[in-house]
Amino acid sequence: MSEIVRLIVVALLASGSTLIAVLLFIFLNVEKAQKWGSILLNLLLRIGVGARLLHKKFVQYDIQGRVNEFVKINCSELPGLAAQKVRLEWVDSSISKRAILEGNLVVVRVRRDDPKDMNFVHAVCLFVSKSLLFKAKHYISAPQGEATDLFVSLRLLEREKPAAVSYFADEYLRPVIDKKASPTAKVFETLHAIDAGKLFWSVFLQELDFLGNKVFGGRKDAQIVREVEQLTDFLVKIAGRQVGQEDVDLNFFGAYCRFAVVIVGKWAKLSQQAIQPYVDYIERTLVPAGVETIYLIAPAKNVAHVKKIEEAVSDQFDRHFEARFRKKLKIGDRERWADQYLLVLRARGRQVYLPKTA
Amino acid sequence: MAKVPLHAVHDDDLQGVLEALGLARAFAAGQLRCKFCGDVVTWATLHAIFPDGGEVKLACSKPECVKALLRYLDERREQR
Repeated sequence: MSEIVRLIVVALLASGSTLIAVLLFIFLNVEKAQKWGSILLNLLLRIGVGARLLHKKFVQYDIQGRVNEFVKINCSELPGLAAQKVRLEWVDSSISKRAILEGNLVVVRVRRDDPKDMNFVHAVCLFVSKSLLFKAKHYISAPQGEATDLFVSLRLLEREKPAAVSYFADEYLRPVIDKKASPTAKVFETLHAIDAGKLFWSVFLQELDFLGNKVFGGRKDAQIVREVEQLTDFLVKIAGRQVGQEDVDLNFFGAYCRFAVVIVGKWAKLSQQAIQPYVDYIERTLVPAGVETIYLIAPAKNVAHVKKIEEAVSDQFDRHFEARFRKKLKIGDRERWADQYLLVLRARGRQVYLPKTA
Repeated sequence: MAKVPLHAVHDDDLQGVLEALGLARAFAAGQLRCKFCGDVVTWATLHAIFPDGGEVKLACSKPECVKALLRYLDERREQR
């Protein structure tokens, strides 16, 4: 919620317009309102009030409120990808066979007796499977897709419903991870390492989304799968990079994913030469190499410099999104949390259609 | 923002839905099997109802069948 809206709500409360303020808050925070509604309904159900009538509403608010809040929070880091929320639609005796077949409807059962939160876990897994990387899944391998789905589902459950993690871990995760040699387990381990470096949402999923938005003249599954493997290996190395370490390659120039991570962090360089070395690097090295995406990462104190770099290359790159986040930095043997800023730039005129001969 | 619809049937409406789909009698007689494991689907094990090859099929709640359903949906989306 923006500062302006917060001020309006406070002003309305102060002026006595409590009802309007509450309605405005609910309107702007549907996910939170549904989450609170589900908690209230759960309390009523536990004391036996309206058990038959309220359970459906509780399940609906519980799933929509929690899943959509997770999406909303991660949207700020990944606008192109996570721009889908969930809407639970009840099916009842008015349904017809024709509606199922023609509408291609998959109807999941919601149990009244649900001590392990199976309803929530099943809904999350189905939602993530249906929505995440919808296009990229045409190209990546089944283990890459399965591991990514499992990873996002785990993060969603950890954040929104920790009580359901146990069931998810037992039934979904452990059977896959325990098979150490399985391709899905290997990809999952790699995604975990990328996430530790805070590059999972912002770079990995974003690059897969960009990949999914390309149109390939001929199917190149094996090549793309291999490139996604190289992408994850590349990101693991960056994720484990120490502050100041310069022997880690920050450019990935694959056949389909072409991006660079530029760290705007050296205060000495910025204070002596301002942004020029960064602009020169982008214009003289990255642009001729055909870079499509630049991830400018900087300590929060360098935001102004990053924005100046953006302005300097604005004739060739458009802003895709920006995000602020906290990251654990490795400095020698120590680790410490630091506020970070990320700006993603996309090259104009990049190749969307890749012909068969490319 | 686009919303992904998730279709669900509550326990309270399950019998009515099976009747509406013309499956109630066969289901009660134990004649409907899980598409993935082939076991008879019962009240205790029914997990999902979905279209497949012009028919309405069922999946049971065994974890491997729940996961098989997700994989099946991915593959079907790939083919469309």
